[in-house]
Amino acid sequence: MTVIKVENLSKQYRIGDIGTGSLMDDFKRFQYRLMGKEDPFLKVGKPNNLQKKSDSKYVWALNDLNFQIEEGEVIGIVGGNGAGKSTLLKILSRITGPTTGSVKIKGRIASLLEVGTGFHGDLSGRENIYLNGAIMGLRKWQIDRKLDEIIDFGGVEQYLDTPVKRYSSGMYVRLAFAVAAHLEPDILIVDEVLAVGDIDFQQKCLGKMHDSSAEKGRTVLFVSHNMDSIKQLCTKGFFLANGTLKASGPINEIVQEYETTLISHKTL
Amino acid sequence: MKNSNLSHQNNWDLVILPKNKWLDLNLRELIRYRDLLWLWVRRDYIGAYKQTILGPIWHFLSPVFSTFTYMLIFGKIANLSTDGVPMFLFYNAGITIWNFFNGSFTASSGAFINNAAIFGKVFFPRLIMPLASVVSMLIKFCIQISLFLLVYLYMIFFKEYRPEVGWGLLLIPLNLILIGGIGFGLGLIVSSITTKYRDLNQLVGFGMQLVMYATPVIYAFSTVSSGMKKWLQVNPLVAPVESFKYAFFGIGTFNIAGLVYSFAWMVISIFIGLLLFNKAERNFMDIV
Repeated sequence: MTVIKVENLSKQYRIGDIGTGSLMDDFKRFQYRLMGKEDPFLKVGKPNNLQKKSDSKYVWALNDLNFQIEEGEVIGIVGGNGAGKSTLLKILSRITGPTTGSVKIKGRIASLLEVGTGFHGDLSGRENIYLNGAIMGLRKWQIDRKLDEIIDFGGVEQYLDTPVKRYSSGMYVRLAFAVAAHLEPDILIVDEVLAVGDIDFQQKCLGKMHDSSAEKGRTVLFVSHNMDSIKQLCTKGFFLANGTLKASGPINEIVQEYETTLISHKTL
Repeated sequence: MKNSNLSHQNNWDLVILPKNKWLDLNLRELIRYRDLLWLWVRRDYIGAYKQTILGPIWHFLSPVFSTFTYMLIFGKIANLSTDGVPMFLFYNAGITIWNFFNGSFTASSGAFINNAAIFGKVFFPRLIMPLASVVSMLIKFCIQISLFLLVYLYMIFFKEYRPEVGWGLLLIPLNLILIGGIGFGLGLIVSSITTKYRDLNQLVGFGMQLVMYATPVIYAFSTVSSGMKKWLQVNPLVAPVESFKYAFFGIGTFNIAGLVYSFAWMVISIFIGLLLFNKAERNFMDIV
């Protein structure tokens, strides 16, 4: 069963400052709309390239992306900086809208683009578990039910009533990830967030994600620059470059292709 | 979900398109996140007074300080009339109700800019944030008004203060809804417009001061000349504030037409606010 279907997805960004320049563009856009014409800036813009300076004010962070994801697949997304990985995740998790195209999703999505979103430094670990869980879309009773498990997974029980601003960055991440690991969504989106925990905890998180896909048929989208964790966790890979889907297929082939491109380009 | 077959292929739970519908409130989603609303109110409340020794007592102290300042400046130095109401009660009531409006408006108008960091990382109905701030302000108001009530009852029982109180008291909840609602609606409008161009923010700080003087907070409406009254009545806050004072002190002009006028303001400003908010929330992360 297809759980995510992406069709002709593009995302355009305006680069540079917001000021009179962007105001003029807005007027022009408005003027065109009054005349019933298409947005004039949709036709301009270059593919995103961090290194080359372009004369256009508009870039396409994603350019005409098409793909489908089946239920239970664990997809690793690889690509250099500026390839559009995060933009794609942001659109899938409804943080920003696409410029053109559509995304269709079946099931409940939870995305982990940052750990500990909404954590308040002055609140205790326990209070933050509730807050963060609620931000991620859990009801209070759901958190009540899972509280012990979350505390256990995070392994910071001793500091549970200490304000999180006193936590070390590792403890902070452990607590935050513990909440995220218990969201139990149908689709889990994870950006590079595991970097701060120790190896032990990283393995624990990967294991948890693996379990949730293997045992419960959850779909996972995972972005990382760590090819080992990608290979360990994912079954299938997407290789993004300059906002387009360059290749998709079994994870080992994709990682290999990505690494070959890196070597041949001698760049990021 | 698990056993759906090919025939269910087109039952998408969520379709993401470039533009939102005009008024895509998605109430069901909003209700599903109601726990977040309460937790966020709690966070505001606890976060504000962590690491202070007096804690929530500051809720009382700050309006008391302002009340004494106003008593000194407007009461003693400027000699403004309070229409026979004990000075402390008069200014304290004015400050408390004004703080409620000011807080509701200011907090809602910062909905996007202040929460950009969270909005940029996780999705939830954005409207939760301004709603939570209005609820926080309402709680703060209830705490502050309880101090007012204590002094008020003390004056009645021990100082032989005899206000003419009547059924106006019943309208207090309506007055609060009007004041909070207008603050919320205007706040939504400002928050949506200022995501891209911040110019309006500069105007708002100054504008709020102006609105405060155009509202009978520090003066009694009855002392205003009738020519002036006509102009002041354009301000939708006049009627609910006056009705609030009428309820406790039996002073001021109380009129139904004014309240209806304010009600229209509330409905229209919330409606426009929701429209703009709905439009802005889509891509505000790219431009904030």
